[in-house]
Order: sequence, then C-alpha cells, then structure tokens
Amino acid sequence: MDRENVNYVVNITKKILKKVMLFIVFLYILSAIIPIVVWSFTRSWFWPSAFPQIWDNHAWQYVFSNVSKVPQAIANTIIIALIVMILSILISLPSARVMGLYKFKGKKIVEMLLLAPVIIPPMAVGLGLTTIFIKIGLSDTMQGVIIAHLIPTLPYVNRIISSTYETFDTRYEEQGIMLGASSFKVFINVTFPILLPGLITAALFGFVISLNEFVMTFLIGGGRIITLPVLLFGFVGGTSSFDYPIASAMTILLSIPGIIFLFATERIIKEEYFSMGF
Amino acid sequence: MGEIKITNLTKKFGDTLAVNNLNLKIINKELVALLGPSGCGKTTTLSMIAGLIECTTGDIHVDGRSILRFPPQKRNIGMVFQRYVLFPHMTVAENVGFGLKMRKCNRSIIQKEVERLLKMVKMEGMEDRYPHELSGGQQQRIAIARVLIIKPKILLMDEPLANLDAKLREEMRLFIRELQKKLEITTIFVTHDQIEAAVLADHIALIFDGVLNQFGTPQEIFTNPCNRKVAKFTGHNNFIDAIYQGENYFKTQVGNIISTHHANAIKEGEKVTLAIRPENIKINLTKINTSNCFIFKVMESIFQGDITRYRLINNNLYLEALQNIKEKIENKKEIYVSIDPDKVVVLNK
Amino acid sequence: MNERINNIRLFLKKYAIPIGLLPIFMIVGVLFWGGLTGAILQSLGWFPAIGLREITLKYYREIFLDTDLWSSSGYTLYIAIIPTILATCISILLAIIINDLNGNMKKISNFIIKIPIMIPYLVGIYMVIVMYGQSGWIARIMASLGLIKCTSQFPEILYSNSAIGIIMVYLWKQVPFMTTIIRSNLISVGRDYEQVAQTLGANNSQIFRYVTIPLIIPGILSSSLLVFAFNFGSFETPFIVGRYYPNTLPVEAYKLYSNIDLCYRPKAMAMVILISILSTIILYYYEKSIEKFKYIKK
Repeated sequence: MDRENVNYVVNITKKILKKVMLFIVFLYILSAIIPIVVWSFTRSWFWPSAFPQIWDNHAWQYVFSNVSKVPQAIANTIIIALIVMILSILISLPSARVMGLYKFKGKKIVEMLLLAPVIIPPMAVGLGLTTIFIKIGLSDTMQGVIIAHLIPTLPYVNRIISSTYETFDTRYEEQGIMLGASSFKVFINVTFPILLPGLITAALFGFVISLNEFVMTFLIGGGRIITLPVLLFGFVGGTSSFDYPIASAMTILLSIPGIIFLFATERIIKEEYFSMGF
Repeated sequence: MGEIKITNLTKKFGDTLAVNNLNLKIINKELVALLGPSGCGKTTTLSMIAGLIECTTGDIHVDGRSILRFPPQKRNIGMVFQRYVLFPHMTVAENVGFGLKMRKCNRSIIQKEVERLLKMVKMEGMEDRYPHELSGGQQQRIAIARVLIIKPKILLMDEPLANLDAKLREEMRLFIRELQKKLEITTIFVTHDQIEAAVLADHIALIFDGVLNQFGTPQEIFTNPCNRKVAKFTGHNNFIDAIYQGENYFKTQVGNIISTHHANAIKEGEKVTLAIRPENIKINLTKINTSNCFIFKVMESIFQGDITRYRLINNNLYLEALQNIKEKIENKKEIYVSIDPDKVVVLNK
Repeated sequence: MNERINNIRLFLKKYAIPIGLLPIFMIVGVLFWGGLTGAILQSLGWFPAIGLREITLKYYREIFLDTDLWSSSGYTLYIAIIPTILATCISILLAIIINDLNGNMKKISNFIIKIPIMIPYLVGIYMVIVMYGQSGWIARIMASLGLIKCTSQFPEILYSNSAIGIIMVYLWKQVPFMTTIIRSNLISVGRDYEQVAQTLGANNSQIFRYVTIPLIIPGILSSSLLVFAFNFGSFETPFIVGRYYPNTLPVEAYKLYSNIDLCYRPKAMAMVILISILSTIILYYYEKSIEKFKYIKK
C-alpha cells in the first residue's frame, strides 16, 4: 500500500513540475509584451514607478505619420520578403528535385556547399559582398537587398523542399505522362499538389527569414533601403537613453507580420512538417 | 499458468463503442484467435489486455487476479505488434535483449539468452544486423524473439502475418503454431483471415463491431455458425428463408428442404434462415434420387482455375455453387441441385 | 522542328542534374562564394580603392598578436556554446511535455511556443532590455515596492561579462525553435516504440533514455548545430546587449569595417575570414561526431 502511495505522490509531483515549467516558459516568452505595450502608450514614465505617470499615444501617431519612416519600412519589408520567398522557391525547385530524387557522385559535397551560408556568419559574407555590390552598382538598391536576402534563405528553402522530394514517388508523374499530359501539365496537376505542404513550409521559412533579416539589409542596403529591422535597430541599437515609446510602437509593428503568418499557416502546416530537412 | 478471464469489457472512444461488453475465457496454454473484419475492436481489446489503453468498464483477470491496476510494464504480457516496431536504432541483438536489459540482467546472461532465442526463431548469426536490413519475415521473427525472451505469461499477437506475402504467411503460420505448442504459452492472436484462424487456433472468438458473436473451436465456427453474420463471414453464402414444418422439413420458395443439422427446440411455424455453403450445393446433370433435389437454371458460370463458381436460379431464389465439373454448362441450362441435409444450417431469423 | 524539341528534351534529361542545380549555384556560388572571395582578397591586402595592391599576411599577423581579439574569440565561443547547451536541454524537456499534453492545452502551447520564431531578434533584444534592464520593468516594479532604490542596485544583466543578456535573448528565440523541431520529430517517430518498450518491461525513465532520446537525436543534433552556428556568427544581439569591449568577433569586425579610416578594412576582412574558418572547423567536427547518430529512418 505504501509503495502505491509513494508512486502516486511522485506522479503528482512530476505533473505539477511539468505544468510549472510550462508556465514559466510561457511567462518568459510572453511577459515582455506588457511593458512594451504600456511603453507604446506612454508620454512620461519616470523611475521608480511601476506604471507610467502620463499616458498618451504620441508614439503611435508618430509611427503612422509620414515623418517616421515606418509605413515605408513596413512596405519595403513585406515586399522584399514576398519576393525573396517566391524567388527562393523558384530557384530551389529544380535543385531540390535533384537533391531529393537523385544520387550522384559528389552529392555530399554539394550538400555541404549549399549549407555553407548557414555555417558562415552573415557578417562575413555581407562585408565581402558589400564591396562587390558597390562595384557593380547593386549596393543601396532594393534589387541588391533582395538578392542578398537569398543567401540566408536558400539553404533552408532548398533543404525543406528536397526533403519533400525525398518522400515523393516519381511514379505519380510517370502515370500522368502515360495518361497523355505534357510535362508542364504534369507538374501543375500532379507534382505540385503533392509537394504543396512542404512548399508551404518552405515558403513560410523563406518569408520569415527575410522578414527578420537585419545584417544583409543593413550592409547591402547601406541605410538607404529601410526595412523594419533596420529602422528598429536605429532606435534600439544606440546607447541606453533611447526613445522607449517609439521603439515600443515599432517593435509591436515589427512583430505583427510574423504573428499573422503564424495564424495563417497554423491551419495549413501540420506539426510533422517542421522537422523536414532536420 | 496463464488463464485469462475477460468480464464485461467495454471501451468507448468518445461516443463510439469500440468494444462492447466482451466476455471471454481463455484457458492455459491455448491459442485463441480473435477473428473479425478490420476495425471491429480486436486490436483495441488486445491493447487493453496489454495495458496500453484503459478500459471504460469491465475487468481482466489473469490466473484469478485482476491486472487492471498494473501498468503494462508490470503485467508480464508480451505483445507482437502488426508492424513489428523493431527499434531502428538498435541491432537485432539489442532489440531482442531489450526486455532483459530493462530488467537489469547481467550482460553475459543477456548474450546467452539472445543467442538462444535467435536460434529458436532460426535467425542465428544476425545479431549485428539492423532492422532496416532485414526482410519482412525476418523482422517478424525478431519481433517474436524479442517478446519471448522475457518469458511472458501471455502472448498477444496483433495481425502479425498481415504484411507478409502468401507463401511466407503459410510458413510463418506453421512456425508460430509449433513455437506456441512447444513453449506452451497462452496466446491471443488477432486476425481477419479465417484460414489463419482455422489453422492456428484452439478456439476462435468471432467479433463483429466490438461484440462477441460466437466462441468455439474452428470446427464449430465453420460448420455450426450461430447467426447470420457469422455464417456469412465463414463462407455460407447461400441464405434461404424458410418456415419449419416439423420433422426436419423446412418450407421454402423452392419447395421443402430437409435439414438434419439444427438445434433442438424449433417450433412448428417458426421462421428461420437456412444457410448453405456453396461447396455443399451439388450440381448434377441428370436427375438423381436423393432428398433435397431441385431443378435450377444456370445463370452464369465462372471458371476459377481448379473449380467453377455457378450462379443458379429457381423461383427468384439465387444460389451459389462451387464445383469441379469437367464439361462447361451453358447458361439457361437446367440442372439438378442436391443438398446434403446434414449440411443445411438452420439459423434464427 | 519536332526533332529539335526532342533533342532539347534529351539534352535536358541527360544533364538534368547540373541543369537543376544551376540556379541555386548561381546564387550561392556566385554571390556567396564571390562575396567571401572578395573578403579574402581584401584581407590579404588587395584593396585597390585605397591603393593597396600588395598581397600580405600582415593583417592576419596583427590579429593573432592582438590579445583583445583572443579575449573576443573566447567571448564569442562562450556565447555560442552556453546558450546552445541550455536551449537543447530545455527544448528536449519542453518538446516531451508539450507532446504529452491533451486537447486545448496542447493547442495553446503549440501556438505560444511558435511565436518567438516568427519575430525578429531585434524584438527579442528589445524585450530583454525593456524587462530585465537596469531601468527595465522588473527593476521599476521592485523599486516601486521599495526593494531597491536606484537603477544601479538592480543587477547588471545586460552588457555584462557573463553575457546573461545575450543568453536570455538567444534562449527566448532558440528554445521555441528547437522545441518545435524536436517535437515534430517526436510526432513523426510516433508512440509505437514507447508502447513496445512498455510491454517489454521498461519503466518511464528507461523509455526516455533508451527509446525516446535515441529516436529524436537526429532532430536534436541538427537543430543544435544550426543554433550553435547562428550564435557564433550573430551580430545584432552582441552588438546591442553585449559587453562594451572586446565584444564578439563579428561585432569587432564590423567596428573595424565601419571605421572612417579605410585602412582598417583589410583587418576587418581578415577577422571575418578567420571567423568563417573557425566556424567551419568547429562545425565540421561537430558534424563528424553526429554522423554516427544518423540511422536510416524507416
């Protein structure tokens, strides 16, 4: 009887500990939202009070005004992210197909080469690239930034799609061809729908990586191409006495696209797909 | 020992009743097959016995003691899963020795036992292979060895032969039967294949939709189905509505059929169903002088290699017959059907 | 005409592999390796824009002799390794806990755990500053409760030698990342193996050790590899909340690069090349050591 009781107590303790750990983790993830939101509606908040003395929404007014570069930054960020997402998928489709379906000599080396951007820091590539882009006139341009964004994005997108191809059965395509469809039609009607979940995951990764990318935009864009991360860096990257209200408002704005994407794809991507390629 | 008694076992998933009030008694050392179509609760029952799922109501006793309060680890029940589920990251030896390792046995003992078990399942020398390097049949034998090494009181097998090709299945059937007899372990074997059940089992429990329909020896089940579902499942494809006239006579739409194969207490005028196997519908080209002889017309005949399947009709009653007749019989030809009275099964309506 | 098309088709089929790889190699090959080559050249003294045309190793020599940069390397390694180890341990536990939850708790947990993944590092950095800085919210609450009187009484978490600020930011981003990957690994492995182990007599800690962990090691190792690589080369976080000097190698390299005096550029490039080489070596050995854990999955 005693043994059973001890077991019971141990089990309950484990359960409680697990719940506590979850709670702490979620608290840690979410708690900072409160002061940030509060700060975004603050006029003055002096030490040592726990809440602002004077509230207003000047920060938000500033942020949405034409004076701040925020609307432009939002537009730039999203446009760049969308283009990068599409481009990276288009570029990765043929290569992911090759990597996923074929075995060939030197495949391992190709894999390593394609993963190199993940291993070698963006700062390293970025500094070198800046010099080159300056020479060929791509620096400080949207095109330059978009191309530069491909570097951190492609390894992930390629990996995810090639994982999807690994589990793809080419016989579906063969069936389509035997039924008389042209290669293009086969791709649209047979291959693409089967690949779709993996493609959506890859698109998500591509979009989010570009959305949050700072170093490449900063170096290649040279301060001329303003995205939200670059803008925020200007407000946060300075010394300790920076403008909390405006920085807070911008932080909130910067978080929104990601959250929207999360909601939108929550339905579409099944949990299993996040481990694709890993 | 290893006597199992299942009482009023029920399992509900939400609103669905997967297992409905199952009552079963399995005596020591015997192999019982849980037979039924896919999705009728057999695997669920097995999982409850193993302790992997909780029962909604009911109890399971092994050797007189309820095992419900024991977690799977403590039940000493071995289970072979349908897809073998060999640990992919362990060698064959590590897979087989797993149970003993969990019991903290001495390493040399484990090694010896693994060798012994591999020999028993005829997989000597495969210790260092990995599961993905083995064929289906080999994986299956390792799965069995892995379970037998812990000397379980009871062995549960969930459609272990389902993923094998026909020939291999036959071999493995005999192999499992021999093994089980030799080791004298009480075994419950889930399958949807009747032939498998007939070959392997001492007793068969026929389960449809979570309900036990009939429990008996293979003989009993196949020649004495207790209801229409069981009869259909075991191949009695011909069903004829009839009314009992007394003295073994049953009135049907084709005339009176005699059956000597029925339970005692049927009243006169009672409505019943007669069930007859296609093999027992004999086709004769000329009239013969026996009981249960009727004229039928051939509707179609399908040659199946060693035997021909005939569809016959008389007065809107369709019958199916299986017979090996040399000549081809054209459609619309009239032939004489005779049925052995002993092969006409009488079922309640 | 048709024959031409056929010929093209055959050509495409025959050279399918190199053709398929062409686009991505153009980007990664040309851009990436091109960028690196540019950096290598500059690091070796080739900087025509300011008149340097002599190939030399002097910049590398300067770096090796600079004790501050050795300290910076140590700091960089430290902030690469510690958060990775912490994040790995926490993520494994979290992945298993969340996987065992039911119904609504599971859905909510899934959602919350993914949030930091979608949000840029800069936001995470800002969050840590706003909450845990010396004039952050926690400090203010404590002050308003009378526990402390002035900002300096609150422990200096950010900008410190122990890099706690950096670690906190990394954990905030990377625990969710690793948990998501490990958890989806757990799901694709499925519960069958655990059930089998149960019937064979394994208790919960044995199952964890001999069945669960080995089966999710691929996910654990590859995600920790990514995290380590990222931490090693990351810029924003140490730049904003790292210690003043010497900060991490990427930050110091950037400082040199953005110096008005262009003469420092080659040294910055040399630093960057060294960082790359160091990354590659460390990751090569890491990858080697996890090779043996990659079993072929079913």
